[in-house]
Amino acid sequence: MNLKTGAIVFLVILTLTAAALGWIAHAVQTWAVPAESLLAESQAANQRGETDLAFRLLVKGAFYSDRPEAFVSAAADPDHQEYLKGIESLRRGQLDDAERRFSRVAQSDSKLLAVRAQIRIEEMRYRTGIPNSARIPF
Amino acid sequence: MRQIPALAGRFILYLAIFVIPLANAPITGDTLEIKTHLFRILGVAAAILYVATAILRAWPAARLRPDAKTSRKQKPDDRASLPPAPALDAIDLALVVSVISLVVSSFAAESRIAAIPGALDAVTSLAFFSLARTVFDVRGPAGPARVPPVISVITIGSVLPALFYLCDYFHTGIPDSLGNQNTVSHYLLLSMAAPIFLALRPGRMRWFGVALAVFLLWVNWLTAARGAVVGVLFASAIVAVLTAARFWSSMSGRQRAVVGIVCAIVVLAGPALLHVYATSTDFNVSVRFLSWKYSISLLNDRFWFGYGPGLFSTSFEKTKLWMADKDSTLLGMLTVNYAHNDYVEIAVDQGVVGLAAFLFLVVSCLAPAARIWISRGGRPADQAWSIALLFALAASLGQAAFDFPYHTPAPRLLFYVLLGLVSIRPAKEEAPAEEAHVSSGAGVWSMAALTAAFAALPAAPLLAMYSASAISHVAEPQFKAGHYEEVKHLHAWAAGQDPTRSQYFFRTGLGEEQAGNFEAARASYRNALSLEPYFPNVYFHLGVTSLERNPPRAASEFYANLAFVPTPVAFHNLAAMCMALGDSGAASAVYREIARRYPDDDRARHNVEALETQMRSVRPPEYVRALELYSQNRLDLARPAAEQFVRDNPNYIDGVFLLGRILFHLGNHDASERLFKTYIAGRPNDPEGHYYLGNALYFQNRLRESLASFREAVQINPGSPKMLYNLGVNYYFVDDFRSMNDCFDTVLAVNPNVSFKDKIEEMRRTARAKSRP
Repeated sequence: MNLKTGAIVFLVILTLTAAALGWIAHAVQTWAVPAESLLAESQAANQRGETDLAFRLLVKGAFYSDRPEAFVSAAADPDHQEYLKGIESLRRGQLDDAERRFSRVAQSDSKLLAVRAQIRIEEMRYRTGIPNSARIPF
Repeated sequence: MRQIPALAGRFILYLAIFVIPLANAPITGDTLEIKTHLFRILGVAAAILYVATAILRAWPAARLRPDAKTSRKQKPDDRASLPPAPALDAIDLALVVSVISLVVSSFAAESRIAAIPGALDAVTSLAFFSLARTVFDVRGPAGPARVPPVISVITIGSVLPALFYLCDYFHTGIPDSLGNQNTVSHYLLLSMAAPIFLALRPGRMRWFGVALAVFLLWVNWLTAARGAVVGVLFASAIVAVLTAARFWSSMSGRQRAVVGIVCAIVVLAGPALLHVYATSTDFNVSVRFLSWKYSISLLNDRFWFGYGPGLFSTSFEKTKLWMADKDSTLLGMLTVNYAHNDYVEIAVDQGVVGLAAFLFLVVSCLAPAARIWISRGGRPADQAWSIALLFALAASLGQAAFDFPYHTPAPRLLFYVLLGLVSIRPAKEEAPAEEAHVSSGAGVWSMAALTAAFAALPAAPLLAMYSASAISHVAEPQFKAGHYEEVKHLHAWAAGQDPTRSQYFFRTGLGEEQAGNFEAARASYRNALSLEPYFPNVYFHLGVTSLERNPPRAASEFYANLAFVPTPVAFHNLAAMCMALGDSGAASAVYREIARRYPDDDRARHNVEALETQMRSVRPPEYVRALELYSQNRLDLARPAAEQFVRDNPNYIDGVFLLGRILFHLGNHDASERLFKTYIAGRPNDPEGHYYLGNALYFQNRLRESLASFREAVQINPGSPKMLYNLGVNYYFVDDFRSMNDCFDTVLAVNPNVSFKDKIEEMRRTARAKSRP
């Protein structure tokens, strides 16, 4: 196979591989983190009194589902909503907005939420929080 | 002298094919470790020798002959042993694309240091490929007209592991002695190239080839590696289609129709056959399916150049962040070392570009071989050579869709060597054998061996990596016994020797944590995370090191750990941190979740009840203030505070009871009686209410009524000395001395040193005196 044919073959292989894997990866992610069932699961956890799990599920959805805004609006508490908006900004790479929102949440009366927001700010500003926390839904 | 690097290259390849599959001495913790290091060391030598050979081939021969004297001394056939470099073709382009994708992937990796071993593996694989393609270049004189030495080496290199495997198989069942039965299967499947070539080429070795092929297939079957069966089916289908194409022109129309239908049935029946096979054996499809699914999902990030060569296993941990709960029960606690689909694994490691480069390399190498078989080009031996290698490589490529042949050293080596061999263009005409004059002379081979040894010298730093795994192996028994502290220095040493592996830093951290050196432990854990960003256990242990001193940080670290995988210990620690932060509600929610996830966890259930009881009894600050004054016996201040509180909160029953007790102690028994009755109406099962009511009635000299109240109190709480004592005293004043004595006996049985013991004795004496006639 000469160079010219080889180049064409490579481009064909690359295009087919990229199209196939790109489509599958997107489908798998939508399938693995289904927004509707996560929201329902979170609601059920709330009803069982497992409020911590309910919020963790919202954070997971805001981080990895293809409909993060649905998880933001599902949070009842304004501080929780603000935290989820911060997560959404983090996911979109809008770090300034994320930091501003986490700073607000860090003043919250909800101690655990404030703590999490504070640790995120420490990582964003000084790299002294939790390593890789920009990728970890907590 | 120009042939020396080429001969040294052959020497390295023969050595690698002999040694790497057999290097299984249990020297390290990981049985594959020694093979991995040998692969890298020999691969570095292969890379150097390939470069040397390529330069010599590309260099004009005249420049190497500075004077005529030397020229005259040169053997006339010396140049024939090292043919000039051919024009660049698709395979060269594939190599360039592979190297570019590898370099970009390594630099874009989340941890470049951690990507070094994987990058080294990829480079050495390409080096083995290029070297095989260069030093076994038989386009000129020989080709596979006679049995090439490399086929003999592969034959012996397959028979020895197969025999070792059989010995272990009949001794212990399916053994792990050669690293892993899957690895043996991968290797033997690739080795099928040798017997198939011997069976197909004209000559006396045909029956030996058939027998060897059957033997290797049988051993392969015994390995129980189901992916090998898939590979053989896949390769058979490919060869069937190619063979149909080969005879297509010589067939009649009817024959063509029959062959076409058979081919279509074979191709269409393949997936159905696979489905039946997969569902009727212990071929674990569900775990493989999950592994593929989540591996592919990783490509939503780092789509084009992946996570870094060799970083699949550490990257897979990331998928646990979005893994569904039901899948997490199967995969959540596992470390997934391989995707069980090499194409997916290559895509995760080096991105879509890396996978496309790999596929392009394979296609550009196999396409000419397929063409030779179909067009019956070259000599019969060339055709046998092409189809034999094509079958073995296709079988391996089929198996790679279910297993991991290109991520374990021995099969990886053989795959790239065979790929290099199949990429060699065949000779166009018959010529005398090349090998005779190239390999003649022990002196030349000694020189070649020496050159190979020198070429391996630059790989010396890799010995440090090997020594690190050996050190870790020494520490293994103590570590497994949980004595992390005792071997922390060994792990620190290993981390110094091989700073590419997070495991050594993690284990050092465990040792420091066990020794109570939390800051040192945290530093080690952070080093581990810099190499392996998604390491759930590290987040857990970071949390543990903060438990005592920094609850906010610990809580966040346990949250990070739980984002990967839920474990009861992490949940309990998180709940404890919620308590430390004063958030009982959150703690209760976490305990509630633990109780649901782990129904046998009684402690969690008990904690939920205790916390909820506590939360129900949250007391208003005014009440707390009045209670504090009462506890300090400052009744003059406590009274107005309590009265005000009861006026404001008439339904707060504890406030009523508090005011009743204050009034009682101030001597206002009448008012206190009313309050106690109100309290008992609201909380009838509280013995304290009945006890105080009894006291209020007693001081009003309403002994029969007080007796009933004390009895009620004792009935609810039969073990209270003060209630039993008051009941006994009440019996004394109604002259029921027998009941009085029973009460006092119980008091002394509950507490023999009770403070009112003297009073009891005095009343008993008086009662005895009273009861005398």
